[in-house]
Amino acid sequence: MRRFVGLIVNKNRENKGKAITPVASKYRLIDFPLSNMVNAGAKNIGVILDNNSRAISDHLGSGKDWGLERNANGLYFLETDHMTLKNNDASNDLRDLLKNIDFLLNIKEEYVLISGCNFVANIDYQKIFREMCSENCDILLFYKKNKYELHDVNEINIDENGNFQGIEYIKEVKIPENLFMESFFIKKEVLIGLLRTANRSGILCMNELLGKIKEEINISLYEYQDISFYIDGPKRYFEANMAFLNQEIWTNIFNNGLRQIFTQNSDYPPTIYGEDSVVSNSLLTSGDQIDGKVKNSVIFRNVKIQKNAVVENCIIGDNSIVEEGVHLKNIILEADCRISKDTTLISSPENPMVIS
Amino acid sequence: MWKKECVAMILAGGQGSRLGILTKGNAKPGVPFGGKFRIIDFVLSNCKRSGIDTVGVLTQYKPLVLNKYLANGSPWDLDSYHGGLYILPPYVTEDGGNWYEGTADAIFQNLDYLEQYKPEYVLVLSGDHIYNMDYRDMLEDHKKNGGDLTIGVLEVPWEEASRFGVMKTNDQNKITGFEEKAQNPTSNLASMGIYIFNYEILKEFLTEDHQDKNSEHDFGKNIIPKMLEASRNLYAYRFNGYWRDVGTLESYYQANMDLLERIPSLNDILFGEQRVYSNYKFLPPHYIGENAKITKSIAADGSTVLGEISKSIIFAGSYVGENVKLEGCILLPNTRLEGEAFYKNVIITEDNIVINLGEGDEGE
Repeated sequence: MRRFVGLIVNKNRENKGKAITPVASKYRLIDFPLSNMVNAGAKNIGVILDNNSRAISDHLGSGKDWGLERNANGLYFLETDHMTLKNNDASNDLRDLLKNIDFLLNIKEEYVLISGCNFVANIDYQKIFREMCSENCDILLFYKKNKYELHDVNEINIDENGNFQGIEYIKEVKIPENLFMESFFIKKEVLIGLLRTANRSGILCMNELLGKIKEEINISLYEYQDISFYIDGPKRYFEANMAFLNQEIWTNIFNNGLRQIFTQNSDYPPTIYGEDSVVSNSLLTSGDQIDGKVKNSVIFRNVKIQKNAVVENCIIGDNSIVEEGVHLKNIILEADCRISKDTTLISSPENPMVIS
Repeated sequence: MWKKECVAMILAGGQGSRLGILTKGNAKPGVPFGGKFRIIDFVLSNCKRSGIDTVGVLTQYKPLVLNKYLANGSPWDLDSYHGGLYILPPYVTEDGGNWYEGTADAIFQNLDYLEQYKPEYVLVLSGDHIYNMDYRDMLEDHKKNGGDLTIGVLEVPWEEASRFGVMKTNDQNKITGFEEKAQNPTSNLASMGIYIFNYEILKEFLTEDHQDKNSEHDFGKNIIPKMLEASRNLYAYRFNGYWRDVGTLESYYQANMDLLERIPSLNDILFGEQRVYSNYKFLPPHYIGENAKITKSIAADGSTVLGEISKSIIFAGSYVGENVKLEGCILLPNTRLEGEAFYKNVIITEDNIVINLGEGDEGE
């Protein structure tokens, strides 16, 4: 059977979802590509650490919570190329991969699945991988149809016959029709060839290289049609979290009974609700102590909502404390915040206020 | 071999028949508790916080659920290099084999296990008590007193004293007398089933007791009286926090309900700096529905609450449908309640078996 190795690239980009950005009560963005890879049978997964390596390695640990703590194989932390930290955009720079070419040379798997961390989705990579193997393509790029105005993303250009034309980096705001999901399968030999060409030619941008060699290799496309969320900045972050309150969306991504999204385990006790708690349409998790009112909200771990506090359409980060008499509406509260007694903070869902 | 100062032995083999259907396919220490835990988590977490890294768990009655749950002990950091968690079922030797015939016999049959570590002290614990304790303090006390055996004790209301083994002590906490479940107890200092023995003395008394054909091979009934008779130095170590033996359906139900009261000494066990660790299978957060009502309750992850619940504990992976109303209920893991229903003061199992506590009204 053919196998693939997983490779997670993430860039700690300004105003973007970061690998460790918390979502949906107890997850981090990196949990999605990582769990999707594990669920598809990947035994080796490399994570390229950015300049926030402490937080990522703290979250992933030995990989135990994803079943990646193995005698042989498992989770590998890889180094970033420091030049890419300066070139901080989504333009598919190959420097990080080039830096880790030894990792790729040493693996036995024939394929590599490379993924970023900005999409929340529960993807059945195994099924897609099998199809890809049988069609013998060299590269399979994932994209989704998009109707939002975006920037700092990649668009896939497709001709009228549905064939790959190229990947284009979108710097300024526009509505890219076919949004590249920062995820692709590639034959290891093809990837190594690509990296050697990049090294030789000095062309370090994948988009440009693919444009040059697209006739020589077999590049296919996969349109991902199931539910997915692209996270870039507070507005879409807020929308996505609110969407998880919809039970259909929730079940599709988090509780579909087929593929679980894993995250770091915690040993907090289960949530306790007080005598006066009023809670509706909300997601909550372990360690929470709820004595106030919570409506249409996503509450992370170990949060205290005290008596007579009202939390409405909010995202409340880990370990935060909302004191008595506080009223919050359309607020994103980051981790470890304390909102002191009787404070009122109200913003709009179009432009949610982020408090850190 | 690396010598261990203190090895813990957890008694987890009892049937727990007074828990009725809860122990039908599971030993008492393996019964779910408090939303996401199992009873044995409390004593294992105590070992972890006390720095005890070598723990033998003595199993006998229906151990499969427990065996699977304990695995290699890693949730309690017991997968350590020189120590570890070991499940110790009865085994056969050249002379045949026997079931564990009592708490003392269970330890006797595993003296070879203890011998591997040559410990100075052996901490004997019960796997079915809910409390939070640092055994190091007790061990310090034991060493300071120069005792042969130190027993953890708790002051209980006089009317309950007859349910326990009780100690009479002098003002240095030296035990002068012991009564096991006496009808008219003369003390209310109850044994918590926590013993620290000097290993050599434990060996001596267990070996002697093993020869005694009239003995029930029980710590409370036989070993402690024999040690007192032999004028050994027995001390009591007083404990003041929350402690419950959850050996009956009523006490099990009550201890679960105690969690909702947020009694400081119990709340600190869960929400304080000391956590209770568990071999918890990862589950997504829980969802409270649009028209749900939830007051004075506990809900564990993986559950869904769409109905109305008060004074209830919803265990991991359970589902409370829109037209379900619960009051004072315990919903064990993975229980699904759909349709229209009202339950009060009952325990409901995964197979939707409703356990009545005598005072509740059963729903339709």
